[in-house]
Amino acid sequence: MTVKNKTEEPKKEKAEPAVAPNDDLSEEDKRLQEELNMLVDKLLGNEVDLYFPALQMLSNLIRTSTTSMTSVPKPLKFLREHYPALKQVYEKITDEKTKKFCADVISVLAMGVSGTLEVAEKRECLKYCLLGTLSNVGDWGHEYVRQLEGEIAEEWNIENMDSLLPLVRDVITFDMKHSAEIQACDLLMEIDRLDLLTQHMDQSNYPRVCLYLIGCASYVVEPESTQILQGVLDTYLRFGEYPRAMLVAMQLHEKAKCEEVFNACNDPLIKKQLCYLLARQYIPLEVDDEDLRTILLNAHINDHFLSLARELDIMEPKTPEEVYKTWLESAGSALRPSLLTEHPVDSARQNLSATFVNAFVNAGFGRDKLVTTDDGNKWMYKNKDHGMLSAAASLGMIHLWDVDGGLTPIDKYLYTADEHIKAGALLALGLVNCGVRNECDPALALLSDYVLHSSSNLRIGSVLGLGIAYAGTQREDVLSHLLPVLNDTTAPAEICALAAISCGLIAVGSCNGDVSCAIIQRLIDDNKDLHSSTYARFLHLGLGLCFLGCKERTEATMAALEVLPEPQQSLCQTTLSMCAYAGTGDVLVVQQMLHICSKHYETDNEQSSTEDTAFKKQDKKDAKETTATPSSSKDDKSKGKSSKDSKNKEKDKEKEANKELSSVQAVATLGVAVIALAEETGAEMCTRIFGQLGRYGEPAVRRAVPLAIALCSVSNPQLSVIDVLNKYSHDSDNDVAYNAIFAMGLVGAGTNNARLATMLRALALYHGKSPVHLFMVRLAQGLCHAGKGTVTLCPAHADRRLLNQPALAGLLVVLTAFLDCKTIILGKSHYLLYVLATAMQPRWLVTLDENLQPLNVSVRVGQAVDVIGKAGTPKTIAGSHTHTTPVLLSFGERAELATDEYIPLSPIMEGFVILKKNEDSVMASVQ
Amino acid sequence: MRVCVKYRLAGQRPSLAGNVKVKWGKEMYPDVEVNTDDEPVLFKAQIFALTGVQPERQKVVCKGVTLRDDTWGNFKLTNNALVLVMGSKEEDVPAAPVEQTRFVEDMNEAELATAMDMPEGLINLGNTCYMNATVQCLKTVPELRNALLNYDKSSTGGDTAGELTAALSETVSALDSGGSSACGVAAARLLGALHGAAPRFAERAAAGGFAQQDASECWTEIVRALQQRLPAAPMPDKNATRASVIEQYFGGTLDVELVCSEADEPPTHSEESFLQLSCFISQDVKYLQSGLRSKMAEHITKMSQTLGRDAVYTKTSKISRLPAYLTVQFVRFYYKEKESINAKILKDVKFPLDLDVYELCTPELQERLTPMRNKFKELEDAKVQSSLSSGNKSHGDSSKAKKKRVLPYWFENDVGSNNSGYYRLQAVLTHRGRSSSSGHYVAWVARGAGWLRCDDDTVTPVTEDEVLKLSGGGDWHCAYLLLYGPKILELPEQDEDEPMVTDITDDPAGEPPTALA
Repeated sequence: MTVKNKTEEPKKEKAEPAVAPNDDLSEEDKRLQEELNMLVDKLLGNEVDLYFPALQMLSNLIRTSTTSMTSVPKPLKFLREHYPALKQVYEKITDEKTKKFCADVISVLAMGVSGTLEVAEKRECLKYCLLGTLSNVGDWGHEYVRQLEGEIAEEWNIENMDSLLPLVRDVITFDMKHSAEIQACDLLMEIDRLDLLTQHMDQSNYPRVCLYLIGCASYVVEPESTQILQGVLDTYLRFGEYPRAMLVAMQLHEKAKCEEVFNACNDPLIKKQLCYLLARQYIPLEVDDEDLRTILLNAHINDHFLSLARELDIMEPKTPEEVYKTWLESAGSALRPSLLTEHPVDSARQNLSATFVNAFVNAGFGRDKLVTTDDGNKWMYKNKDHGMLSAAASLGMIHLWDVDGGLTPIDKYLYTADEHIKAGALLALGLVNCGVRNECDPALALLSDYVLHSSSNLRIGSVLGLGIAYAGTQREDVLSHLLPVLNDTTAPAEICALAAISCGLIAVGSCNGDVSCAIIQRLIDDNKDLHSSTYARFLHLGLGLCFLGCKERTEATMAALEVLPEPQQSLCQTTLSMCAYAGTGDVLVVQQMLHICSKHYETDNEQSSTEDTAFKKQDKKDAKETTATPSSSKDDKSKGKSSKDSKNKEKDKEKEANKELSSVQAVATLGVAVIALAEETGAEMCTRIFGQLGRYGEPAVRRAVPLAIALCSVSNPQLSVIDVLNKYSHDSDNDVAYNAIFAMGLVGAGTNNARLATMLRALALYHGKSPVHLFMVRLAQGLCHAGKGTVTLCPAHADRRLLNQPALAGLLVVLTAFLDCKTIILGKSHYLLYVLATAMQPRWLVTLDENLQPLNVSVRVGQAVDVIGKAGTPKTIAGSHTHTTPVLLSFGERAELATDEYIPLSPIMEGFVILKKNEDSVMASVQ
Repeated sequence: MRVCVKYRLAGQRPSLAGNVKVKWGKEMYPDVEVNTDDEPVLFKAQIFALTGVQPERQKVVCKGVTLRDDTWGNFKLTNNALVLVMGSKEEDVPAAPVEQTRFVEDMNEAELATAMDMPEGLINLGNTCYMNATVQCLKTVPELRNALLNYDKSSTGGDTAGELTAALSETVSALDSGGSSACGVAAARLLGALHGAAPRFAERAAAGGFAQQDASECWTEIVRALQQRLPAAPMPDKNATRASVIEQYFGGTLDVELVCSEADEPPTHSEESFLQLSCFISQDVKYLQSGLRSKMAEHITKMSQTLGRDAVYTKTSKISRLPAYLTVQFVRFYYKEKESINAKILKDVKFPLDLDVYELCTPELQERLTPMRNKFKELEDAKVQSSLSSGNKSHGDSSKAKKKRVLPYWFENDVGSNNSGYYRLQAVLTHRGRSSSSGHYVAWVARGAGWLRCDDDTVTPVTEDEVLKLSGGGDWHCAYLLLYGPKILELPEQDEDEPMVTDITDDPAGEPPTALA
């Protein structure tokens, strides 16, 4: 009785305010409300027998009520006021079955009142659900399940895992059956039980699930992201989606996984497609089949590239003049060489820039108007010293990818008397083989003889040539030739640096023990002059490249580096962690890098000591925050040590330390970009960060900022980016300006972007009087028109999901060189620019028929649209134009077949795609 | 296919006799027999037979190993292996060019100037740009330059004109070969001489330095001095009347006819000589030619003998002798009483690169000009014809240029005259600013196909278009004095060698033999 009284009172209270809105209710609603009220009354009554039928009626009413998206279902709304009363009803029911049923109903009603704080905190929806029948939670509709998921995710912990698991299974089953896969993924990721998903995947839902999970993977910390990708990989394999599986395997950076996928596939045609995918990522796989091996060699690039060029009618060689377009410059500028034609004067720097422009612009075309002509050697002699090396090496760039046709024209320069030209020819031989492999290994055969030659110039050509030719191949036999060079302590620092670069390029991302040991040994053993040399940075980079994208697998190496004396230690460790987390978008490492960048060093002793303590505090705090990644905390400690050390040093020594710190900062700045580069949101955030650093950073940081900006959008000339760089290119700090101008070139590399070209022409005019600035502008112009606008230097491909490691490594080498632009690029080592060849790829879509012959079909090309998690079958491209293959794809563009006569074998319409005839094509049948 | 693999004890390596595929460039030679028991040279000779690449120029590569000449070494061949041959048929080894390239970066400033062949400029000694510009313009006349270089400096009579001539002679030689320091010294001496000859140029500005002067006055002053001191070279025919180089090459004569428009008087004829023509700028003068023409027919008021009062006369001038070098002055400055300054007319008056003064000449002279003009016309027609027939402009022009011969531009009996009426612009003296005693003077001189801008001591190359933009109409440099040289007729070389023509020398203007003597 007491119970009844108590329940009646609140009911009355609540009933009164409910009267007012009753007035605007429609007849139907009124009837519903009355009915509900009656049922609640029954429940509140004492007739136990009536409880169950009443609850059944209630649940029927709730389930059958239709609702719009925006409002709470009517029954829930009307029952809201009875919620506390019903909870008490639940308490008093004794019959097990009825009690459970009642709990179910209350759980559903809890969703209606979840707006109140109290209910939300207690997670009553989940609580009553667990008390209920725990069967068919889905019967109550999507909204209810979503509510449950949210509460499960919040509630989930080790203790209640087992009790919740059945419910989770139920929820997942429902989700996967009712196109709520995304929610299921979210829940399972939240509770770390993605394994539950596997059994629910079927033909209808796995594409969406996998797409979503891949998208999520980049935002999740290790080791979860690897687990997610692994799960996706298994799913794809289960459903026979081998190309997709291969992409995921490549994303995991595991050759074994790639092999597994490859061997799992039995369709010979799809295997061929897999080979094309592998070849694009330079993953060397041992295959027995002759045809497949040929594809993996990547040797087809050259022929297809030339046929693309013919299609686009750009076979005609372009001279540097045509790139500079000096005739467009207003009259009176000293840049117009026509005024000087009477008495042509050779400027070594201008000729050098012309050499590079010519090499970049005609790259891969096999023809140019400077060096491949009959009197090509004349041009080489128009360059000076190492300029001759670069001029001869430009032959390799022009014959890029053409191993068959390119070696012969270079061969004759191997007999020349001039050492620089001979060295250049060696480098050219390496360049020709870049990204392309040949069974005969001509590069190895021809270059390996010179790596220990007595002439250091020939060593330059051969060592770097080998590095470029075998970038990413992990070839032990090539490394065995280079490691002795690395260990040769008598060699000049430059050779040693090149050997480190080459080893790094070849063993990129492999954690190769031999290479890393050799480099560390060299760093430890070495006398002071290597450390003080600017080339030391390449040793650090070589080590880093070895661990490119290897994440925390660098721990042992990090520890080994602690024996190094201080400035080198942090420099090397920063470089290493930059490379190890390249493209991962790891926010914690980015923060760590930013922390280094934000340090300001003082010339005053006292001030610096106070600063130091302040930093130490911050260091500790940071270390606490970043304990998630063990390497980062260690790094912070080492930083703390470094600041302590520097405090004890003499004043002038401190200055030196500052200098070292500044190079650490420069590397860290670059590091921010390297880490964030593959992932869109991160890269966008970077732009803001760089704005800050560019405004308030130390000079060293400011110098690296343009390079970092460029790295975030290589071959992607967005207006905002080139505008920012254009501003930097007028900077009063010359180094900032040089780097910014070069950065503009990188951003527009291979795009022929008209706006950038105009900007660069204006810059050429502005800097007309300064030969060094002009040199940079020319380089940038050359890059902008690289491959006559048909190539990209962007390391990300396959819808930006994959990072081509050799490409990224090549970019990093060049950018590192630009960190000390004055002594490296503007000094003797400008030939390092050719390392960009490892990043150079045609930005194309070539469609092949089943016999691997080019097949011209019409495709729609438009801006890529992110369709992850979108309902239905949304359009993947926007603003499309129809073209016929082969077709060029700009950054962020995607292609799709405009015909249904063929089915593409690759999910990603980039590079080489094999098309299969569609048996039930509508279009074909119409014809 | 016969394959036999046997193990030799000596080398401990399998030898192979079988077929390999040889790839050379884009060529593929399948089934090349090879036996590793033989010397590798034999294999190379085989390849030579196939490809034509000399064995010593061959690089035979297989599986990352190069084949040596003496031993197979670790060059492992398997049956049907692919062997890559690298090498070219040509025997030539790229050799260094005979002439070493010199780079701008290696040169010092003087070498740079020589390499660019930039003439030396004259340093500004404090508002002396008017003088510098004048000297640069006058220097473009080869005959005058030669005369100056040959001037006997010791013969100075001590008078101001002699001093000025000597100084100018020194300046010209310094500009030709002296280098910047010599130029500075010469310019200083020249300035001193100029101040001696015309003391008004020594006027000081308020700030203490020399004041800016009118370049045209300077021009006149210098020319006057030269006129006195530079005697004309002895003429082959004795009846020559022209005493100095200036009169020879710069002086012209006008036939002036005065007709009274109010009374019926017989027209009076007189002869006037001139050293420069003036182009008056009035409202409707838009082109140089119309400016010149308006000066040639003007109305003047003059005391009439018959009427006994001032009457309006029509003065018609016709040129009866054309000098080789025609100086034209734009009368841009007029004296403003109110502000007592020489104000400048900024009006845009276009001047041509090629000037034809035929219509300004007397009928007699016109008649004498005709034969030469016809030759020009013929050449033009021939050019049009050939360009039409060949259809394309080949770059062979430069090579043909050597085979051209040059006809003299003067009448046979009058050295230093112009025999066609055609002129070519060779120097422009410009002024920038609003009055003659302020602003800046710059000389723009033609050199070969291009132009140079001589702004005191900085000399930069410019284009023809830029020179044509000097016509005025704004605050940019306005042409003030124009120096036209004779247009040279270059005939394509014919088989018979006429005695009277001289082969073209490095001097584009052609040197009359007299000036050298």
